[in-house]
Amino acid sequence: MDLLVALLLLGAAAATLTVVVAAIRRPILWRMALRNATRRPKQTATVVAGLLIGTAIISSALVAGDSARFAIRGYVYQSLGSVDESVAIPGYPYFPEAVADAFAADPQVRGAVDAVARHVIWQGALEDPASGLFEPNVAVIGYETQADAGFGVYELQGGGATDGRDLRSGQAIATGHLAQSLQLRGGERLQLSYVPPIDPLLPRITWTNGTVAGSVDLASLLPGLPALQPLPAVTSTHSITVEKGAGVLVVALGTNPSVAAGLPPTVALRLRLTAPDGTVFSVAGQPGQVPLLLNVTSPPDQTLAVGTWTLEVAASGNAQVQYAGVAIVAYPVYDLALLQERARALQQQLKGFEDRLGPLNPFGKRSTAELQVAAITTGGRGDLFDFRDALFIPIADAHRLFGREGQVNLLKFSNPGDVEGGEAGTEQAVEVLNATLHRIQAQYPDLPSVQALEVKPLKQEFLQVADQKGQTLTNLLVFAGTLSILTGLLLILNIFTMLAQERRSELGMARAVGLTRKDLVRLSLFEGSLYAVAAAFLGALLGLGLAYVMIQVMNGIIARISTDLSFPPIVYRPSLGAFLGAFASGALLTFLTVYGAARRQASLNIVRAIRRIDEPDARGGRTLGLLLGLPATVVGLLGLALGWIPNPVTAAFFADYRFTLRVFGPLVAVLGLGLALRPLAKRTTLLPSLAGLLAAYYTASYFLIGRYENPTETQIVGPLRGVLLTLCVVVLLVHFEALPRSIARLLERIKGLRAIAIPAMSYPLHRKFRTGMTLAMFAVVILSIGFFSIFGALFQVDPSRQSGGFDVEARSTLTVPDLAPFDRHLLPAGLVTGSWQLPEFRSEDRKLITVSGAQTGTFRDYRHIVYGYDEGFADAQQFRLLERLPEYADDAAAYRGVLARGDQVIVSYIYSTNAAGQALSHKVGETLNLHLGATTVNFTIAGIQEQYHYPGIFLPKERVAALFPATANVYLFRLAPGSDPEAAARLLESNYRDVGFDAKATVAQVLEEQASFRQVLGAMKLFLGLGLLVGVLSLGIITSRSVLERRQEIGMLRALGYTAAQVRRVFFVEVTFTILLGALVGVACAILVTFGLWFAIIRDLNYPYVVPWSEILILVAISYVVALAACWAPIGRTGKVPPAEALRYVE
Amino acid sequence: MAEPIVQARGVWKVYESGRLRVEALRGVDLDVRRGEMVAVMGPSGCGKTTLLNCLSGLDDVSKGQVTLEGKPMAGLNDLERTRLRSRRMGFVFQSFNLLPVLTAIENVELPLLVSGVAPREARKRATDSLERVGLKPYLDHKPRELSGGQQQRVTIARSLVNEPAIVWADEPTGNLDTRHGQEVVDLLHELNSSLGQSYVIVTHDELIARGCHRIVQMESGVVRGVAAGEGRSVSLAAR
Repeated sequence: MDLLVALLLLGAAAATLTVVVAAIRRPILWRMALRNATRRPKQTATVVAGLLIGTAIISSALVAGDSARFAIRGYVYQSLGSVDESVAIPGYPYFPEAVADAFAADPQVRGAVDAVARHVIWQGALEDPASGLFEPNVAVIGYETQADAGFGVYELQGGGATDGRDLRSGQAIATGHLAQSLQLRGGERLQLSYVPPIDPLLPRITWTNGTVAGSVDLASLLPGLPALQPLPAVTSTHSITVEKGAGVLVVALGTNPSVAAGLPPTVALRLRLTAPDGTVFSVAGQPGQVPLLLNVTSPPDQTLAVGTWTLEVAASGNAQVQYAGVAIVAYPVYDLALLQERARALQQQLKGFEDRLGPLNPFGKRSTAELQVAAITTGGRGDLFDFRDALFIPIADAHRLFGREGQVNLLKFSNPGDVEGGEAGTEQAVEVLNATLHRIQAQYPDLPSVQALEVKPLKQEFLQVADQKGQTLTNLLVFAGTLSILTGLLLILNIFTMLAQERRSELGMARAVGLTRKDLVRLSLFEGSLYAVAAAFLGALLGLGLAYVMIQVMNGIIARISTDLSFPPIVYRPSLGAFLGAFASGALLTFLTVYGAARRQASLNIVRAIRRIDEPDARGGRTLGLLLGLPATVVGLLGLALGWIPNPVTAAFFADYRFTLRVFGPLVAVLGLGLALRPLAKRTTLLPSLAGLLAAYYTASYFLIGRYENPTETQIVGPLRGVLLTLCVVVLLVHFEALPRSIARLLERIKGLRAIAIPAMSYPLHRKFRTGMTLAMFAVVILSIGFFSIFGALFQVDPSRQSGGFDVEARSTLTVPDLAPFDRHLLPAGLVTGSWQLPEFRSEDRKLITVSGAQTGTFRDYRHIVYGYDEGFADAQQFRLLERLPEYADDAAAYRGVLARGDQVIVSYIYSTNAAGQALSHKVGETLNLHLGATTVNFTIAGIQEQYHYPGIFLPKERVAALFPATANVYLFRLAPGSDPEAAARLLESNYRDVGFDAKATVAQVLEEQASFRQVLGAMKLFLGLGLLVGVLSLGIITSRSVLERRQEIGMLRALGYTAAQVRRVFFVEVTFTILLGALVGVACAILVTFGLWFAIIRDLNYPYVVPWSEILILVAISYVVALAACWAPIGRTGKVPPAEALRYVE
Repeated sequence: MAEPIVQARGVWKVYESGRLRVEALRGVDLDVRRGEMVAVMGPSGCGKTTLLNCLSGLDDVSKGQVTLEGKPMAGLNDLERTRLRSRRMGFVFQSFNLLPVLTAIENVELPLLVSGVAPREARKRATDSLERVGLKPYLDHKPRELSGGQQQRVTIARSLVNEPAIVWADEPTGNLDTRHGQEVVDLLHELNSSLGQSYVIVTHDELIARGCHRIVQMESGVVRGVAAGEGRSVSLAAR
């Protein structure tokens, strides 16, 4: 049970204790309350039904949030299975298998964990020849067939399980996800193509050149001469320094291109490399063979001998050769930033020689293998791959296929206990594993891979992330639920106000016979606390059911939007904590609301109450009003001024709260003004005037506030401003009597409604407070749902504006400099009319890019992307610019200008976004800073694109290559008119399968992104719909109470000649008026708010303002129909009220 | 002697609630003649209001027969009785029962609108009716802006606006002080003599009763006696 629940329970217990003590002291009041609560069971039931709704919402939000959190935890449990800790190098490069042996053999490790196993993991592209289907990115996991069994079994598709011990060489177990992607069946043979893994090595280069010659046999050359001594061979010697940690030494030798194009056919080169310890490595080329390569690679658990290595170059054959070569000593580097930095320096060093290093390029070494599907697993073993395309193969196969004999890249450990319980032993296991790792690292002081190993409490870390995400979801639901709870509270207030109104006469009598005002408060409180406890209990129970329904709906949404993630369905998981939390908060909220209503009703005038005469407009004390009101007004105005006028105080203390000051300053000022003026003005004049003033200010604020800086402030204060605006409009409307009167006059013109209109409008006109609360309930809910509807529609822009005119986009698993060698020539001629290759660098380093010193790009997770483009792309692209530097006449000029200058950049509008998510907060002309380790490169923003589909910055290709030597590529294709982009994407994948081509139809991708956004908003709307449910149900309950309260009025109408049907019609028109007016206010405010936000922050993105009228109309229609259904029964009862009985009705 | 507009013969009204059985009316016989003002008096709980409700069709009788203008009420369904009330009857209640949010004229035109009279015509007739009760300057006042007597006069105007044959008044001065009560009583007499409608007035006030043509004395659900009244407005100052 968490602290909040405990505090809530404590609060509820304190409130209950207060009531109990008071009841013991005044037993007669308790008896009265008890009898009041039980004398009309049906009425009590409606009150409890109304009260329990708020609690039900709290309960459902907590349970749904809890379930989601557990689902995410469940995802972790299912993903990781029994794996609790891991030992690996970040990024999963390989390390010596001897480390795994050492861990497995260590007695302390054996004592701390249940199982240990190792993996060799790599990736490749997989083709199913049977179906012709192809999957470009499949994880291939080599596992120990024996040791891995300690981590559980593979549950098999169609039932059963296997521990994987029997898997033979050449066989594989496929995940269900992969089986679905390739439509696999057991026994099928698959074609795996891959490029073997490359170590993260940084080369140090030594250039060599010299002249060598073979020993010349003069006798053979000059046969007539007396015996001549052969001319001695000319050799050349070079020193190569090898420092600690080097793993590979490669020498490549060729002829000096400035002297000769190649080696004479009679000459052969020889290389001899002598290590400091005297070990000799040599290679002898064939005559004419260049380049000649000598590769010395240390065993996985060793490094090259440190010191000076001697390279001796010799030649055979009768010629002198001028050679040039390079000696490369490669050092593993496991620090990614360092790797990037060094690679950049190396690139400068190699400038101009890249083509001559061609044979060293690893990308040509494509390998293939055939594997047979032995089984299809639906999960169970864990290993993080259950929800991905993955193949499990015997580790020996993986070693062989990927050329990693004696190496692994992951060690995993399972703690004692089951999948969930293992986490408990994490601290101890991590301590033992770290101690062991340190001992192992001490054995390999020179081996960078071993030194880079880390112990990770994998499951614990994943669970922490899961809990954070779950909490975020709970917060989101509770926030969305807050509006529903607010409507629930309005309902509670409404119900108790109605109860008090009904019992005014009775309460007046009670006062007349000697009950004090405090006694009246106690009486109401006693009765209210009975309702509160019953309603909170039932509401918390109902919430459990509601959560179940919500989870089913959420699962439906997840199933639609998580096709790539395969997120498992949320399992309904009610918890005692959620139930108690909801019960306590529901009871407390009801209790507090009842207390407020009780105090209000206790201030009645005895005579007026007994005679059922309306209370006059209470104006309050002049002194009190001034004492409270004037300071509040001054404080509010001060806040308003601080929020708007630049000043040192705001800069020092409220820099992040300007928006809050601007929203709440006027509210406090208006409330203060209301208190101060209350003794002087009529409430019916004062209230609408102040509400109108505030509504006008809030409306204007949407157009005056163009900047939103603090995201937290914006996300909380922003919605509150919308709610406040709506409440102001409601207050204004309920006091604007001309409206219902005009409607009444209008309805009078309809013959059937002639007698109905006036009495139907009389109640809303007379009971302004209650009508206002009902309207507010409806309006706030419609506002929130309407807001999300319109907001969602704003971003459903023409997808072609995001695609830049490209039909297909693709990325490859393997980064290759040129696609041409991998072309299988499967594409029909003329299908692709143009293709562009953009180097793409992605980084999750949040600090990589800043604009004018500020972080940007909050549209998605922090992931910076840099694209490189050339003239071809500049000419072909159709990405419109929202802004460009004035020096450029048009967009095309800007794209070309950036290419020409090299110190400018074009950015997606995401990079103009500030921390609060507001686009175009940064402008062209500002400086974009690229932070590359120790150096920072600055660019001037020359253009801001309107597209977000490629959320990155666009630099000249050469600049990207210079700044980021290791980049991937994004490929863009334009197709012949009339081509099917999706079919073309499949064809492209197939054509470039050897590089793991993953191609997508661009417009379809954009539409999918938009659909996902809509789905998320849909989920929000769904939860907000609970508020609507409250509003709808409450209207039924309010109508039910209203019918009871107005029996005399009904009797009078019947006496005057209204038929039962006409009386029903009166109520029907009244309810319709309330619903539609509430909906109208909600929709109008939603339009106002979204238009304001569009005007301030979206308009500049060239997005048109749209209102999805059909969606809004459906929303209003559903609200109306359901609300009428809820009111049907009480309205029906009005016709059955016997007039004579109604006329003498006294509660 | 004028013909009876309402005739009650052997009217019983019994309320039953579980084992509780209350005989509110026990075989009441009563005639109300056209243009006659009849006062119904008796101690609290004797069945005065019940009699009024039963005679006006607001409530069903348990036994016996009530006829209005010769038509037996028992044969009418709820709709027909409602129509009858809206066209031939007017009601004045002790607590006025005006819709508080409507102006005086709006309150008065309600019965006309429900009878299907066009809004313009209804407005004219409501104005005339209010003028008749002396409230022409207060047409657009809401009930809370009027005194108790004025409110009751609005009620009377409303009861007369559809030119009923009979007006049922239940304690019409019960909530009024003497001065306002007098105003109301005087008005009822004046309207009775000028328009000729019948009035059945339930009252505890002997002076009001004395001003009626006949006084029906009730006790425990039966009519104990009928006495002749003065048939003119009597000053209430004596009470």
